[in-house]
Amino acid sequence: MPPAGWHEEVRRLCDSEGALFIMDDIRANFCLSINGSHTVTGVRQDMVTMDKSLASGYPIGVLREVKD
Amino acid sequence: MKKTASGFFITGTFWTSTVPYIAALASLNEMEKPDVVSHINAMGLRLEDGLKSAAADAGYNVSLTGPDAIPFMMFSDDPDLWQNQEFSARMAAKGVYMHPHHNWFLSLAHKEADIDETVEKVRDAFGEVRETLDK
Repeated sequence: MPPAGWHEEVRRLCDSEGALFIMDDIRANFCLSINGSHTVTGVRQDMVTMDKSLASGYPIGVLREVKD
Repeated sequence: MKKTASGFFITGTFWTSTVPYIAALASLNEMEKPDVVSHINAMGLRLEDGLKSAAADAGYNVSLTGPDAIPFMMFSDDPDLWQNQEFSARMAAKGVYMHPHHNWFLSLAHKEADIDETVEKVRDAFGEVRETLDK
């Protein structure tokens, strides 16, 4: 897992550079939270990708926009 | 009817992908049941504890990384993951798939008995890897 403060630093860099924070949550998916493992970072992402375990192995992919 | 059929066009973006959608809905319904996430993490923790115990008994120094639900084990002094590959091959021969260079994924289907059986096989595999290294 990334060290403490890593996600916050990515958020800060994205904001300072005017970039979107797009997080790949495909590997962890729902392992850390039913809402998606990206929700336990404590940081808001702009977009999130999910798939694989989402359909228990059937091919599917999701690109999700996270709104404030 | 052939004339009528030739006069119109019909299409659909997801016609060939309805099964994954149903599978996703079914998966989400299962995931929303109480204690699913905690169960998956508990099984991962049980596996990690078993691996640490088996490694210590076999004289191996291993590191476990990642969240409990998706752990990964590495042998010390094994930068090219050769021992991991040997270990994974031994486990596969015993019917347990443990990827040699990627996180493992626990699931709701894993029960305590599955983990305990896996750890027992890990103990045997550690011994077999040791024999291979000693040759």
